[in-house]
Amino acid sequence: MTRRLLPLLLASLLPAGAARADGYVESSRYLPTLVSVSWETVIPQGDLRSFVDRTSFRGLQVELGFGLARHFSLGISASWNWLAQNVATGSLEFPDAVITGAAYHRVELVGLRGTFHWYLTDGPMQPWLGVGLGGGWSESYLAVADQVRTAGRWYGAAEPRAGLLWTIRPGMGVGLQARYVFTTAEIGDVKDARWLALDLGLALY
Amino acid sequence: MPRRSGLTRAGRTGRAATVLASALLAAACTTDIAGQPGVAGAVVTYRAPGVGFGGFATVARAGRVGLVTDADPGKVFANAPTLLAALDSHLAARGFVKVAEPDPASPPPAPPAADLVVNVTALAVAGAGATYWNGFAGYSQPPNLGFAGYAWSYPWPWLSVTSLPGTLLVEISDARGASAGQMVVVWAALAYGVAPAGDWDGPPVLAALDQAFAQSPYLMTP
Repeated sequence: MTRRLLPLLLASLLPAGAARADGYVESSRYLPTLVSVSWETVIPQGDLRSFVDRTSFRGLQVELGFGLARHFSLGISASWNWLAQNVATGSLEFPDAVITGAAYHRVELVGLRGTFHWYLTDGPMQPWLGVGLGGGWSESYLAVADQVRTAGRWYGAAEPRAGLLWTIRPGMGVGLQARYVFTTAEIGDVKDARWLALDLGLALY
Repeated sequence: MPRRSGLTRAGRTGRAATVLASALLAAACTTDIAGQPGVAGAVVTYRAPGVGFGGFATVARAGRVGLVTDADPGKVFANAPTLLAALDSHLAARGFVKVAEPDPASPPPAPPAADLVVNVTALAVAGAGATYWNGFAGYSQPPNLGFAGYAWSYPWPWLSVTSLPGTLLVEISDARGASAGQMVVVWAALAYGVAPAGDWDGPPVLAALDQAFAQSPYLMTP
Protein backbone atom coordinates (compact mmCIF):
# COMPACT_ATOMS: atom_id res chain seq x y z
CA MET A 1 0.00 0.00 0.00
CA THR A 2 2.74 2.40 1.02
CA ARG A 3 4.71 1.52 -2.08
CA ARG A 4 1.77 2.60 -4.17
CA LEU A 5 1.00 5.75 -2.26
CA LEU A 6 4.49 7.22 -2.12
CA PRO A 7 4.97 7.61 -5.88
CA LEU A 8 1.46 9.05 -6.11
CA LEU A 9 2.21 11.54 -3.38
CA LEU A 10 5.44 12.55 -5.01
CA ALA A 11 3.81 12.74 -8.40
CA SER A 12 1.33 15.23 -6.99
CA LEU A 13 4.24 17.58 -6.41
CA LEU A 14 5.16 17.53 -10.05
CA PRO A 15 3.80 19.31 -13.06
CA ALA A 16 1.87 16.97 -15.29
CA GLY A 17 3.99 15.05 -17.73
CA ALA A 18 7.06 14.65 -15.58
CA ALA A 19 8.71 11.39 -16.45
CA ARG A 20 12.09 9.77 -16.41
CA ALA A 21 14.89 12.17 -15.63
CA ASP A 22 18.64 12.01 -15.68
CA GLY A 23 20.52 11.72 -12.42
CA TYR A 24 23.02 13.89 -10.64
CA VAL A 25 26.69 14.14 -11.81
CA GLU A 26 26.15 11.66 -14.59
CA SER A 27 28.48 13.44 -16.92
CA SER A 28 31.82 15.08 -16.35
CA ARG A 29 30.68 17.85 -18.70
CA TYR A 30 27.81 18.88 -16.48
CA LEU A 31 28.58 19.00 -12.76
CA PRO A 32 25.86 21.04 -11.12
CA THR A 33 25.57 22.19 -7.54
CA LEU A 34 23.06 20.33 -5.42
CA VAL A 35 21.09 21.93 -2.62
CA SER A 36 19.02 19.81 -0.27
CA VAL A 37 16.93 20.30 2.82
CA SER A 38 16.04 17.25 4.89
CA TRP A 39 14.00 16.33 7.88
CA GLU A 40 16.29 14.37 10.15
CA THR A 41 15.64 11.71 12.75
CA VAL A 42 18.31 10.77 15.28
CA ILE A 43 18.57 7.40 17.00
CA PRO A 44 21.01 7.50 19.94
CA GLN A 45 23.64 4.79 19.92
CA GLY A 46 26.03 3.31 22.47
CA ASP A 47 26.52 5.10 25.76
CA LEU A 48 24.45 8.08 24.66
CA ARG A 49 21.42 5.88 25.26
CA SER A 50 22.12 6.11 28.99
CA PHE A 51 21.38 9.82 28.79
CA VAL A 52 18.75 9.90 26.05
CA ASP A 53 17.33 6.68 24.73
CA ARG A 54 14.42 8.02 22.73
CA THR A 55 14.52 8.52 18.98
CA SER A 56 14.40 12.20 18.11
CA PHE A 57 12.13 13.42 15.34
CA ARG A 58 13.14 17.03 15.76
CA GLY A 59 15.92 17.89 13.41
CA LEU A 60 16.95 18.92 9.96
CA GLN A 61 19.94 18.95 7.68
CA VAL A 62 20.83 21.43 4.95
CA GLU A 63 23.36 20.28 2.44
CA LEU A 64 25.27 21.76 -0.45
CA GLY A 65 27.04 19.50 -2.92
CA PHE A 66 29.43 20.53 -5.66
CA GLY A 67 29.92 18.25 -8.63
CA LEU A 68 33.55 17.24 -8.62
CA ALA A 69 33.71 14.68 -11.40
CA ARG A 70 31.40 12.10 -12.89
CA HIS A 71 29.78 10.29 -9.95
CA PHE A 72 31.64 12.32 -7.33
CA SER A 73 30.77 15.40 -5.32
CA LEU A 74 32.27 17.42 -2.49
CA GLY A 75 30.01 19.33 -0.20
CA ILE A 76 29.19 20.85 3.09
CA SER A 77 26.26 20.15 5.36
CA ALA A 78 24.83 21.60 8.54
CA SER A 79 22.42 19.92 10.89
CA TRP A 80 20.40 20.67 13.98
CA ASN A 81 18.83 18.12 16.29
CA TRP A 82 16.92 18.13 19.54
CA LEU A 83 16.83 15.02 21.68
CA ALA A 84 14.48 14.75 24.63
CA GLN A 85 13.54 12.21 27.23
CA ASN A 86 11.68 12.41 30.52
CA VAL A 87 12.63 9.94 33.21
CA ALA A 88 10.77 9.05 36.38
CA THR A 89 13.81 9.39 38.62
CA GLY A 90 17.06 11.19 38.15
CA SER A 91 19.64 12.77 40.42
CA LEU A 92 21.75 15.88 40.46
CA GLU A 93 24.71 16.24 42.78
CA PHE A 94 25.92 19.50 44.26
CA PRO A 95 28.90 20.05 46.57
CA ASP A 96 26.79 19.69 49.72
CA ALA A 97 23.53 18.29 48.40
CA VAL A 98 21.87 15.69 46.23
CA ILE A 99 18.44 16.03 44.69
CA THR A 100 16.48 13.09 43.31
CA GLY A 101 13.15 13.24 41.55
CA ALA A 102 11.34 13.40 38.26
CA ALA A 103 13.86 14.43 35.65
CA TYR A 104 14.24 15.36 32.09
CA HIS A 105 17.17 15.10 29.78
CA ARG A 106 17.58 17.28 26.72
CA VAL A 107 20.36 17.51 24.15
CA GLU A 108 20.80 20.03 21.39
CA LEU A 109 23.23 19.18 18.61
CA VAL A 110 24.50 21.55 15.97
CA GLY A 111 26.87 20.08 13.41
CA LEU A 112 28.84 21.26 10.42
CA ARG A 113 30.83 18.95 8.14
CA GLY A 114 32.53 18.60 4.85
CA THR A 115 31.24 15.72 2.75
CA PHE A 116 32.37 13.49 -0.09
CA HIS A 117 29.83 11.43 -2.05
CA TRP A 118 30.33 8.70 -4.60
CA TYR A 119 27.25 8.08 -6.75
CA LEU A 120 27.26 4.47 -7.74
CA THR A 121 24.98 4.60 -10.79
CA ASP A 122 23.46 6.81 -13.42
CA GLY A 123 19.77 7.36 -13.90
CA PRO A 124 16.96 8.53 -11.69
CA MET A 125 17.74 6.16 -8.81
CA GLN A 126 21.24 6.83 -7.58
CA PRO A 127 22.51 5.11 -4.48
CA TRP A 128 25.61 6.72 -3.06
CA LEU A 129 28.25 6.21 -0.42
CA GLY A 130 30.13 8.92 1.36
CA VAL A 131 31.96 10.28 4.34
CA GLY A 132 31.65 13.42 6.42
CA LEU A 133 34.23 15.14 8.60
CA GLY A 134 33.58 18.07 10.86
CA GLY A 135 32.33 18.95 14.29
CA GLY A 136 29.82 20.94 16.17
CA TRP A 137 28.41 22.13 19.45
CA SER A 138 26.42 20.08 21.92
CA GLU A 139 24.33 21.50 24.72
CA SER A 140 22.90 19.19 27.35
CA TYR A 141 20.18 19.98 29.88
CA LEU A 142 19.64 17.84 32.93
CA ALA A 143 16.74 18.93 35.11
CA VAL A 144 15.60 17.33 38.34
CA ALA A 145 12.54 18.92 39.93
CA ASP A 146 13.24 22.61 39.35
CA GLN A 147 17.01 22.34 39.37
CA VAL A 148 18.63 22.53 35.95
CA ARG A 149 22.22 21.88 34.94
CA THR A 150 23.37 22.78 31.47
CA ALA A 151 26.67 22.08 29.77
CA GLY A 152 27.83 23.08 26.32
CA ARG A 153 30.89 21.77 24.51
CA TRP A 154 32.50 21.71 21.09
CA TYR A 155 33.08 18.33 19.51
CA GLY A 156 34.73 16.76 16.52
CA ALA A 157 32.85 14.28 14.33
CA ALA A 158 33.36 11.77 11.56
CA GLU A 159 30.67 9.81 9.80
CA PRO A 160 30.21 7.18 7.14
CA ARG A 161 27.10 8.03 5.18
CA ALA A 162 25.01 6.40 2.52
CA GLY A 163 21.91 7.40 0.67
CA LEU A 164 19.70 7.33 -2.33
CA LEU A 165 18.95 10.23 -4.64
CA TRP A 166 15.73 9.66 -6.53
CA THR A 167 15.44 12.16 -9.34
CA ILE A 168 11.75 12.72 -9.91
CA ARG A 169 12.05 15.44 -12.53
CA PRO A 170 15.01 17.12 -14.14
CA GLY A 171 16.98 18.93 -11.47
CA MET A 172 14.82 17.76 -8.60
CA GLY A 173 15.07 14.72 -6.41
CA VAL A 174 14.02 13.11 -3.20
CA GLY A 175 16.89 12.19 -0.93
CA LEU A 176 17.11 9.41 1.58
CA GLN A 177 20.19 9.33 3.74
CA ALA A 178 21.67 7.53 6.71
CA ARG A 179 24.76 8.64 8.55
CA TYR A 180 26.39 7.05 11.56
CA VAL A 181 28.03 9.85 13.52
CA PHE A 182 31.07 9.24 15.69
CA THR A 183 31.96 12.24 17.85
CA THR A 184 34.09 13.41 20.72
CA ALA A 185 31.01 15.01 22.29
CA GLU A 186 30.56 14.84 26.05
CA ILE A 187 26.90 14.76 26.97
CA GLY A 188 26.07 14.38 30.63
CA ASP A 189 28.44 11.65 31.83
CA VAL A 190 28.70 10.20 28.34
CA LYS A 191 31.92 10.55 26.41
CA ASP A 192 32.36 10.14 22.68
CA ALA A 193 28.65 10.18 21.97
CA ARG A 194 27.45 8.62 18.74
CA TRP A 195 24.16 8.40 16.96
CA LEU A 196 22.47 7.30 13.75
CA ALA A 197 20.83 10.03 11.71
CA LEU A 198 18.20 9.26 9.06
CA ASP A 199 17.13 11.89 6.56
CA LEU A 200 14.31 12.42 4.14
CA GLY A 201 14.52 15.52 2.03
CA LEU A 202 14.22 17.39 -1.19
CA ALA A 203 17.21 18.06 -3.43
CA LEU A 204 17.55 20.59 -6.23
CA TYR A 205 20.39 20.60 -8.70
CA MET B 1 -7.24 27.36 -16.94
CA PRO B 2 -5.28 29.59 -14.61
CA ARG B 3 -7.17 31.43 -11.94
CA ARG B 4 -6.59 35.06 -11.06
CA SER B 5 -3.59 34.02 -9.00
CA GLY B 6 -1.89 33.01 -12.23
CA LEU B 7 -1.18 29.49 -10.99
CA THR B 8 -2.21 26.33 -12.75
CA ARG B 9 -3.66 23.42 -10.81
CA ALA B 10 -0.25 21.82 -10.70
CA GLY B 11 1.24 25.07 -9.51
CA ARG B 12 -1.28 25.38 -6.71
CA THR B 13 -0.60 21.80 -5.70
CA GLY B 14 3.09 22.52 -5.69
CA ARG B 15 2.59 25.63 -3.61
CA ALA B 16 0.45 23.75 -1.09
CA ALA B 17 3.04 21.00 -0.92
CA THR B 18 5.78 23.55 -0.34
CA VAL B 19 3.82 25.18 2.46
CA LEU B 20 3.12 21.78 4.02
CA ALA B 21 6.75 20.72 3.76
CA SER B 22 7.87 24.04 5.26
CA ALA B 23 5.45 23.64 8.14
CA LEU B 24 6.69 20.11 8.79
CA LEU B 25 10.29 21.29 8.76
CA ALA B 26 9.44 24.17 11.08
CA ALA B 27 7.72 21.72 13.43
CA ALA B 28 10.81 19.55 13.34
CA CYS B 29 12.84 22.51 14.55
CA THR B 30 10.91 23.09 17.77
CA THR B 31 12.21 22.40 21.25
CA ASP B 32 10.47 21.49 24.47
CA ILE B 33 12.78 23.06 27.01
CA ALA B 34 9.90 25.04 28.47
CA GLY B 35 8.35 23.50 31.52
CA GLN B 36 10.22 21.42 34.05
CA PRO B 37 9.66 18.19 35.87
CA GLY B 38 7.39 18.52 38.87
CA VAL B 39 8.85 19.16 42.29
CA ALA B 40 6.39 16.81 44.02
CA GLY B 41 8.21 13.72 45.19
CA ALA B 42 11.67 15.24 44.90
CA VAL B 43 14.06 14.34 47.72
CA VAL B 44 16.93 16.64 48.63
CA THR B 45 19.58 15.73 51.16
CA TYR B 46 22.20 18.07 52.55
CA ARG B 47 25.44 17.16 54.25
CA ALA B 48 27.60 19.45 56.37
CA PRO B 49 30.93 19.78 54.60
CA GLY B 50 33.82 18.00 56.24
CA VAL B 51 31.70 16.03 58.68
CA GLY B 52 32.36 12.31 58.89
CA PHE B 53 29.59 10.30 60.46
CA GLY B 54 31.84 7.49 61.56
CA GLY B 55 32.62 9.39 64.74
CA PHE B 56 29.02 9.38 65.93
CA ALA B 57 27.49 6.37 67.59
CA THR B 58 24.29 7.29 69.41
CA VAL B 59 21.17 9.24 68.54
CA ALA B 60 18.30 10.88 70.38
CA ARG B 61 15.31 10.95 68.11
CA ALA B 62 12.43 13.37 68.76
CA GLY B 63 9.48 11.41 70.08
CA ARG B 64 6.95 13.23 67.91
CA VAL B 65 6.68 14.70 64.45
CA GLY B 66 6.30 18.46 64.62
CA LEU B 67 3.53 19.78 62.40
CA VAL B 68 3.95 23.15 60.76
CA THR B 69 0.63 24.49 59.57
CA ASP B 70 -1.04 27.78 58.81
CA ALA B 71 -4.15 26.80 60.67
CA ASP B 72 -2.76 26.23 64.14
CA PRO B 73 -0.32 28.74 65.57
CA GLY B 74 0.45 26.53 68.55
CA LYS B 75 2.88 23.67 68.98
CA VAL B 76 1.13 20.76 67.29
CA PHE B 77 2.22 17.35 66.11
CA ALA B 78 1.44 14.92 63.35
CA ASN B 79 0.59 11.32 64.09
CA ALA B 80 3.12 9.24 62.19
CA PRO B 81 4.28 6.20 64.17
CA THR B 82 5.16 4.24 61.05
CA LEU B 83 7.35 7.05 59.79
CA LEU B 84 9.21 7.26 63.10
CA ALA B 85 9.64 3.49 63.19
CA ALA B 86 10.99 3.54 59.65
CA LEU B 87 13.41 6.30 60.61
CA ASP B 88 14.61 4.28 63.60
CA SER B 89 15.05 1.30 61.35
CA HIS B 90 17.17 3.25 58.89
CA LEU B 91 19.33 4.73 61.64
CA ALA B 92 19.85 1.33 63.23
CA ALA B 93 20.74 -0.17 59.86
CA ARG B 94 23.40 2.51 59.52
CA GLY B 95 24.90 1.57 62.87
CA PHE B 96 23.45 4.30 65.08
CA VAL B 97 22.07 3.34 68.47
CA LYS B 98 19.02 5.17 69.74
CA VAL B 99 19.55 6.08 73.39
CA ALA B 100 16.79 8.62 74.01
CA GLU B 101 13.47 9.79 72.67
CA PRO B 102 12.90 13.29 74.04
CA ASP B 103 9.40 14.69 73.76
CA PRO B 104 9.42 18.03 71.94
CA ALA B 105 6.12 18.87 73.66
CA SER B 106 7.91 18.96 77.00
CA PRO B 107 11.65 19.15 76.32
CA PRO B 108 13.97 17.66 78.90
CA PRO B 109 15.80 20.12 81.16
CA ALA B 110 19.19 18.74 80.20
CA PRO B 111 20.62 17.66 76.86
CA PRO B 112 20.17 13.97 76.06
CA ALA B 113 23.28 11.89 76.33
CA ALA B 114 23.59 11.25 72.62
CA ASP B 115 25.99 12.18 69.83
CA LEU B 116 23.25 13.19 67.41
CA VAL B 117 19.78 14.63 67.76
CA VAL B 118 17.19 13.77 65.13
CA ASN B 119 14.22 16.06 64.41
CA VAL B 120 11.27 15.18 62.23
CA THR B 121 8.91 17.86 60.95
CA ALA B 122 5.82 17.69 58.77
CA LEU B 123 5.58 20.88 56.72
CA ALA B 124 1.91 21.23 55.85
CA VAL B 125 2.25 24.82 54.76
CA ALA B 126 3.77 26.12 51.55
CA GLY B 127 6.33 28.78 52.22
CA ALA B 128 8.77 30.73 50.17
CA GLY B 129 12.48 30.23 50.48
CA ALA B 130 14.65 27.78 52.33
CA THR B 131 14.24 27.27 56.08
CA TYR B 132 10.91 29.07 56.04
CA TRP B 133 9.74 26.62 58.67
CA ASN B 134 12.00 28.16 61.31
CA GLY B 135 9.46 30.69 62.42
CA PHE B 136 6.49 28.37 62.78
CA ALA B 137 5.31 27.22 66.17
CA GLY B 138 4.98 23.61 65.11
CA TYR B 139 8.66 23.31 64.29
CA SER B 140 10.77 21.69 66.98
CA GLN B 141 14.15 23.27 66.83
CA PRO B 142 17.12 21.04 67.56
CA PRO B 143 17.85 22.97 70.79
CA ASN B 144 14.27 22.33 71.88
CA LEU B 145 15.21 18.76 72.68
CA GLY B 146 17.13 19.68 75.78
CA PHE B 147 19.55 22.37 74.64
CA ALA B 148 17.62 25.36 75.84
CA GLY B 149 19.35 28.62 75.00
CA TYR B 150 21.24 27.23 72.04
CA ALA B 151 20.97 28.49 68.50
CA TRP B 152 21.36 26.16 65.56
CA SER B 153 22.80 26.58 62.10
CA TYR B 154 22.88 24.96 58.70
CA PRO B 155 26.39 24.97 57.22
CA TRP B 156 25.41 24.71 53.54
CA PRO B 157 23.75 26.81 50.88
CA TRP B 158 20.16 25.71 50.28
CA LEU B 159 18.95 24.79 46.85
CA SER B 160 16.13 27.02 45.73
CA VAL B 161 13.54 24.28 45.36
CA THR B 162 9.94 25.42 45.18
CA SER B 163 8.19 24.66 48.45
CA LEU B 164 5.11 22.47 48.47
CA PRO B 165 2.62 21.59 51.19
CA GLY B 166 3.03 18.08 52.50
CA THR B 167 6.83 18.19 52.72
CA LEU B 168 8.78 16.03 55.12
CA LEU B 169 11.83 17.44 56.90
CA VAL B 170 14.34 15.30 58.80
CA GLU B 171 17.29 16.99 60.48
CA ILE B 172 20.23 15.49 62.30
CA SER B 173 22.19 17.81 64.58
CA ASP B 174 25.57 17.37 66.21
CA ALA B 175 24.70 17.21 69.91
CA ARG B 176 28.16 16.22 71.01
CA GLY B 177 29.75 19.15 69.26
CA ALA B 178 27.26 21.71 70.56
CA SER B 179 29.25 24.46 72.22
CA ALA B 180 29.27 28.18 72.79
CA GLY B 181 25.51 28.22 72.39
CA GLN B 182 25.67 26.72 68.89
CA MET B 183 24.32 23.48 67.45
CA VAL B 184 25.13 22.54 63.91
CA VAL B 185 22.76 20.54 61.74
CA VAL B 186 24.97 18.00 59.99
CA TRP B 187 22.41 16.33 57.73
CA ALA B 188 18.96 17.23 56.52
CA ALA B 189 16.48 15.70 54.14
CA LEU B 190 13.51 17.35 52.49
CA ALA B 191 10.92 15.32 50.62
CA TYR B 192 8.70 17.71 48.73
CA GLY B 193 4.96 17.29 48.50
CA VAL B 194 4.91 13.66 49.58
CA ALA B 195 1.91 14.06 51.89
CA PRO B 196 -0.33 16.71 50.35
CA ALA B 197 -3.37 15.28 52.11
CA GLY B 198 -1.61 14.95 55.44
CA ASP B 199 -0.94 11.21 55.43
CA TRP B 200 2.49 11.32 57.01
CA ASP B 201 2.62 7.55 57.35
CA GLY B 202 1.71 6.99 53.72
CA PRO B 203 3.76 5.06 51.18
CA PRO B 204 5.07 8.20 49.39
CA VAL B 205 6.48 9.48 52.68
CA LEU B 206 8.10 6.18 53.54
CA ALA B 207 9.48 5.81 50.01
CA ALA B 208 10.93 9.32 50.21
CA LEU B 209 12.59 8.47 53.51
CA ASP B 210 14.09 5.38 51.91
CA GLN B 211 15.37 7.53 49.06
CA ALA B 212 16.89 10.07 51.44
CA PHE B 213 18.98 7.37 53.05
CA ALA B 214 19.72 5.68 49.75
CA GLN B 215 21.29 8.85 48.38
CA SER B 216 23.28 9.36 51.62
CA PRO B 217 25.56 6.33 51.76
CA TYR B 218 28.04 8.28 53.92
CA LEU B 219 25.45 8.51 56.71
CA MET B 220 26.67 5.52 58.70
CA THR B 221 28.89 4.56 61.56
CA PRO B 222 30.86 1.34 62.10
